[in-house]
Amino acid sequence: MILATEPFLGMARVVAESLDYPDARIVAVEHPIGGIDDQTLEGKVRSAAGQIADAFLGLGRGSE
Amino acid sequence: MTASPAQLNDVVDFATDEEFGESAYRNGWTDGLPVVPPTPGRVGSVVEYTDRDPVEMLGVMPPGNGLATVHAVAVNAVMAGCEPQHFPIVLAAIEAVLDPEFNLRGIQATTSPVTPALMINGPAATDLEFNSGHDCFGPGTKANAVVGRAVRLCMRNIGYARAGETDMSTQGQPGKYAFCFAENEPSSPWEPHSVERGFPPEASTVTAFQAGMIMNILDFGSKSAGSLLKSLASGMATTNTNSIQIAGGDLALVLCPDHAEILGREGWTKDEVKQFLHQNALLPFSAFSQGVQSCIRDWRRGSFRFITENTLLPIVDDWRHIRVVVAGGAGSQSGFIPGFADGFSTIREIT
Repeated sequence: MILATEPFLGMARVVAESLDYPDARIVAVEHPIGGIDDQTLEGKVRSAAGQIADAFLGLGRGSE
Repeated sequence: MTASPAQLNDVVDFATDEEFGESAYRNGWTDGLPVVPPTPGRVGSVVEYTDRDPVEMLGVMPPGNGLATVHAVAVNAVMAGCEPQHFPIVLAAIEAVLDPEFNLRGIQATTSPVTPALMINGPAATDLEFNSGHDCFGPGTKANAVVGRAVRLCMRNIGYARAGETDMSTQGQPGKYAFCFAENEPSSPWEPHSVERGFPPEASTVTAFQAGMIMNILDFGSKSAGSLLKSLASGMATTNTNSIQIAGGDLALVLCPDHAEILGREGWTKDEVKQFLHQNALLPFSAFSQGVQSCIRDWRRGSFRFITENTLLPIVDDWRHIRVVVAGGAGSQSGFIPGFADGFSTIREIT
């Protein structure tokens, strides 16, 4: 499982493949996560948490 | 024969140089500047200059994990403009950056502008006319330009560093075109960097520093070592470098000859200079913004169990990770190369 903000999804795919994890599940988090207030960050975390759970459970709602 | 877009390992053969140049640019094989077509004859000449087997693998280059064979490195060296005599230096430089100590994976992918800064020591520096004097970080010298560029093209085409895709540097830096210079050994009051690191004086070496950027340290006024060292310490102690916030890796202080002479004539050894800078290039925790303070509390927690507003932070945890070298021409302008993190400078002999 890889968490990455949107601009880093391409790199996440390349690194996953280069490390021989081509099927690694990649979950996108809304960018940015730095320089934002706690409430906005919490919203992004909660949004990502649902995708993470789905990706783990194989429900197909993960970003990748 | 055509090269794969992802990895330029094959010698290419196009009808014209212009056709190759356009194709290379469109496929992302270049840094944007024109390249020399790597014809079989040119690549063969470069490889044959050494006694290395073209299929010998120097290592796997991240993040794309391309195979850095002698042949693949030669292709990129030719594209960069290298002549055969430059190739042993490029090979040594690639071996240096592939050393796990260097943390090339992090350097290739990070949001930091960091890039390898290559420094040549020994007879090769003069034999191949590397610039160690005026404008040694700048343009105008073939050896500096083509060797530095060759390493960057290898990082691009073998390691697959592509801006915004796998090279996530937020802004980059001009040193990502080419960053190579020679130590000005005749103007140094101390032993060459290569000798300090255990090589005999007759050996030629290439050192790879992790160059976050170059920061200029101007001091025309100091006439004593004490005054100059205060300038150097204050110039190196800035709040927003990887070095001080994370405190990993090596830092390089590139003294200009005039500054080095001031220290040498008063008998300062290189180790004494490093220790002084470690003890005096300090910033109080209160100098950092609240946001950066929260990062430092996390990133440097291994060094500081308790941090207060009055805690003085050194620019790096261990004085031995301040590297002091001499380069440049006349004038009173030294350079500070803040490092990266989780990695160190590496050195290889040129054979």
